[in-house]
Amino acid sequence: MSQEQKDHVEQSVQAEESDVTAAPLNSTPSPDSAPVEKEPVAAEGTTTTEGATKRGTTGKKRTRARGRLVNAEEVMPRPSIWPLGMAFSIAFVLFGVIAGPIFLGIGVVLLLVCCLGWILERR
Amino acid sequence: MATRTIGEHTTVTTTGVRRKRFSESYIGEWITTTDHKQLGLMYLITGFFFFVVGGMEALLIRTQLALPDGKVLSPQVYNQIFTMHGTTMIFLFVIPVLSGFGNYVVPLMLGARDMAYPRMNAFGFWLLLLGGIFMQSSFLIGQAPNGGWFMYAPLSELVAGHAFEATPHMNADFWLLGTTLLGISSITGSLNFVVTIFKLRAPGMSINRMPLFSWMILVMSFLLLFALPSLTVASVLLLLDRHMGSHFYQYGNGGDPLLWQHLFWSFGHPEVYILILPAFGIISEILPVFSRKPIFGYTFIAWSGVAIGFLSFTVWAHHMFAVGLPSIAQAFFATSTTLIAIPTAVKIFNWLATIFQGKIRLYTPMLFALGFIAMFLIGGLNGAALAVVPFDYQITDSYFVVAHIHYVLFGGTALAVFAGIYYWFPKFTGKLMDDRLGKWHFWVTFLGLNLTFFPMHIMGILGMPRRVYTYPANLGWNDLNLMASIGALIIGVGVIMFMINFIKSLKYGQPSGDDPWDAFTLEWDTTSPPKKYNFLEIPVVRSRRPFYDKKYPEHADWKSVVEH
Repeated sequence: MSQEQKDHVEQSVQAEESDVTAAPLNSTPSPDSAPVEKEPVAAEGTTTTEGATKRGTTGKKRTRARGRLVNAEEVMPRPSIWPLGMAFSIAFVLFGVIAGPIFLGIGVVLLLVCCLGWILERR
Repeated sequence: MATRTIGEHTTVTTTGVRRKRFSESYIGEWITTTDHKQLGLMYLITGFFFFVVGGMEALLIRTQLALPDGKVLSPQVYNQIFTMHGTTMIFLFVIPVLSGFGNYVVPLMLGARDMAYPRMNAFGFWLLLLGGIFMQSSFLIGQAPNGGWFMYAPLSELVAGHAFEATPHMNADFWLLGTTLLGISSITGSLNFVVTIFKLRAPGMSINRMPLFSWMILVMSFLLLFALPSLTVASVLLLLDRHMGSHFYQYGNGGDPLLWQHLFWSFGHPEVYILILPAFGIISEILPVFSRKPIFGYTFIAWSGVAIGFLSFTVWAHHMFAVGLPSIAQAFFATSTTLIAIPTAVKIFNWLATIFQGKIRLYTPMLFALGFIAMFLIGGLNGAALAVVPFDYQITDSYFVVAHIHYVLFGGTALAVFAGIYYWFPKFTGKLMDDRLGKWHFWVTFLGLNLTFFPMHIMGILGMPRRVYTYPANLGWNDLNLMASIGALIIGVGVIMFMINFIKSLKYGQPSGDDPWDAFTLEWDTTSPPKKYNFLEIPVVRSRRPFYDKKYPEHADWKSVVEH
């Protein structure tokens, strides 16, 4: 690794160490946040408080552009077992096509159960 | 008030201690995940696992053919091995690995938090894994597919319509059902990519500012959506022939075996571009970063990818020149095949112009990218030769064709995949891969692939047919075959070096920081590995190199470049 890249990596690691990671998310990028009205991209390392202070000094419009602050778990998709169940039951149905009606029947029942589970699962 | 401790085994509430959910256990988290990054890694790991399986099948083939009159495998097993080698490498290695890169990187590149349909994303992965296990499990009962990766009818029929049984056991069924499962997986993945790319781009990222890797994933997704139905129809008709007594492909009963070839290759040739276009995208990301220049001719590279996509649907019958097509059809398909070389050459010239007078940094990803250009050029040129009908007559179904496809798919796609792994490994893990070992890996692989596949051109011209089980000693093919087999072993050594590097770097790798390559695109504008939500704030994009603009505001592209 060249000296140039070593320096670059060191700077990058230091920046990462000083990063505060548990900050809430801005989930709704607004069309108001057009580049002309805002700095190109806000630094990711800023904490919520620092960010609020910065924005507080720069006026109402920028505060609105930042959008609602939400928890990560609210906006990220939840884990689900149904994709695996659905894939397994489709594989079973196709196997049943050549292996016989019993396998096919089990596969169809599994498929229906997984379809219902998938549809009824709360997001 | 309820309090929640993230990362602990239990959650303490005012009402007591809640049991840990299944999805919070280590195994459960992987099984139930809908996070595009985790799924991307699962795709990559699965694809690499099948690469090793397909590689071992290749070594068995080369061991059988190393010497004349070889008896390492029985003819029946040999048929199964070469069929599964092609099937594994195409359906279970290249497509999953490219989808893995797409899954992991595309949402990050676009400034999105996840794919558009996270659960469907997980569904696609599980179908792929089950389809792969289903197909490989056929070896356990000694009935692996044995009709070639193209499963030509009537060889794949239960009864060929004449007085012989073609494939009376379940061999072909495993292939037909396995590829159907993989097809459903690819369709779901493609839909997800298309919607993600069209709907989830960060503010300011117009389609004309999108990274080229995302462009190529978009084109690949459309190709899959339009090409796969053809394979599915062909497979269903063959299943009906085999199990329901229909005669779609049985000449003796009024069917037409050529129908299979038309249906299969109208999927199969777009498939070749499905396998190579994302590789073009990877190269188009790596070359500018390691040349310290913006990509040359962005618009031409993006739209030549689209042109290749369109043209790929017009060339399928060049696989069938020898079946006796009418002259007008031969002329049409020869012309369209030659035409497709133009947008491909456009890309190569643009890549060369990108590195021309650049401040080149020869790290491992760049070495693999340069190797890709050289090897793909050979594969492309001998592909153009195959478009010449009289020449094709001479070498059709010979080892020349094997050389061509391996220069394109191993010298091309596989080198690009390795380039992508070395390039994005720091993003996946927060660690750098060992560059010295990586360079050894490159040179060993480069030597091995040329030693294996270049002699195959000569074997083909000397008349050695592909898929042949063995050969007598007096045909002049002995030395070339031995050379190819030694080359295959060298490739195997290269793969072992890569695995050692991968595991070693994963455990003891040097921390990379967030942006070890001083890169240009948004995936580097977040932590390595990224947090579950990807970006603390959705970035705003003003040019084709948004992260470069952020790091070097005084030289930002948007200050000097006018884009539409």
